[in-house]
Amino acid sequence: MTASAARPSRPEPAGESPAEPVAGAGTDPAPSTAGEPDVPQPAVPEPLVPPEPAVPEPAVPEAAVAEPAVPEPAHPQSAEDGGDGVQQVEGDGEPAVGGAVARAAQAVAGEPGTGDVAGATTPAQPGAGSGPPRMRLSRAVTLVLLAALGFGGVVAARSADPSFSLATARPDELAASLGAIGAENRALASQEGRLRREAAGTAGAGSPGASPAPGGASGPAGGRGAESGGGADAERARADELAILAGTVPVDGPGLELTIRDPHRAVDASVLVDALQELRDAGAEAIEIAGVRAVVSTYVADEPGHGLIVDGRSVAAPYVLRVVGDAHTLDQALRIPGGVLDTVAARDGAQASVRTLGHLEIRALRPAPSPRYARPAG
Amino acid sequence: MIPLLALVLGVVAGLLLGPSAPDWLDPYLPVAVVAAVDAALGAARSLVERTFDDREFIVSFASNVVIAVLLVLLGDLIGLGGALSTAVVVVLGIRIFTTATVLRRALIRL
Repeated sequence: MTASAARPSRPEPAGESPAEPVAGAGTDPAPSTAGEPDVPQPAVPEPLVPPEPAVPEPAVPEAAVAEPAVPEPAHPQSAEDGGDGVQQVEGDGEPAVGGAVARAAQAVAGEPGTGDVAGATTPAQPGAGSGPPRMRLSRAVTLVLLAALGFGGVVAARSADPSFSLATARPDELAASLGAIGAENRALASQEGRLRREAAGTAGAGSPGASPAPGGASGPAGGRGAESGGGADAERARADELAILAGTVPVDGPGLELTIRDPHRAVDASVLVDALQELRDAGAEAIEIAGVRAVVSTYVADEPGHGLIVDGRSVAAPYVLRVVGDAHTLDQALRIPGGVLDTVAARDGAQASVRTLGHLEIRALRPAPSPRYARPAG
Repeated sequence: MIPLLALVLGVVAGLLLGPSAPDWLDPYLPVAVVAAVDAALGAARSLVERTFDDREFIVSFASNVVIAVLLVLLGDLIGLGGALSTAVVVVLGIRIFTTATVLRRALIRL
């Protein structure tokens, strides 16, 4: 600290509350130099431990200073700016010096110490300087508080870490962020689709010229066939995606099986609808509810006295939902506090169990929808 | 120097122990930390101005933190949600900047 240099040689200035005792002693101004040196040295060594170096030091320091024999009561305070150590030398022993002086000496002792040999034991810090035990205590508390600040800062930073906060977030926050991520995901997926189409279009435009199809007459048809690398593959992939979505093809893949047992008919359609939504939010790609392939138009309704109706078919408990998707994510989605499993468990006698599977197959199919009115636009 | 070491020690301890704050502390810890930073900067300022006093620092540190936490707690209790904690952070932030300016002038003379 630059400030330390400035330190007045006079003891008085230092005199803040703690310092006072020393001030009186101020026979000679401490050499300003003495003060400064200490700053650097704040010899790290165990500042916390109160140095016991006791008597000997005080004497030394002065000598070191070269100043007058009398201890310069100097500014005990100076130490403070030095900011180092807590412990001032213990005052006890300087009887050597005159009574009043002695007092001063002890206070001083700390700083001279810094200058010289003493350094090791006594921390550079004269600072704490004046009032012995009490000052030491409060300086120690100061250090503890600072350490607590550092510690607290780290803990707070860790708590703010997103990956950490997910673990402790409340369910509604999780649901909100899940929703946001889902929306983002959809936006990105549609963007991806658009870009892919664009890329396919570009490839389609480029390849016919570059690699003319055999039999120039075949024209566009030949071109299409030749460019299997670009457009056709994309088309096929697109068709597959749509087929999976529409439930017209069997699918297999990792996923899970959710079984809801409902001996007392306490589970109504809303539970299954919630489960369906939760699974879709969690990225389910194909779902089969009680043997019925779930698609966009799937509905679940209560059928009094029997169970439920899924897309027009009566089903009875236990309801088995088989889902293809990221098994872990799906599993977590079902287990969210207040989520599907909790809801089911709250119903009279109902029980839900989840089994994640590395591989499962959904064979239930749907006829391809044939829209009567809707036509692709643009 | 030594106070800085203490600070670093705390940081290192935090990194090494990697504790996770209990849930109920979540809303208060950040505010408490900001309040403590304010107090610590204030201490640095008084060091520079040679008016530093340990007891004063301890009192200002504790009262800063306690008042900040109490304000946030009050905000929670009366349904202000995070508004009061924002207010506390803003006010402390202003103070921190002010103090930092004084410190900078004293240290660098610019």
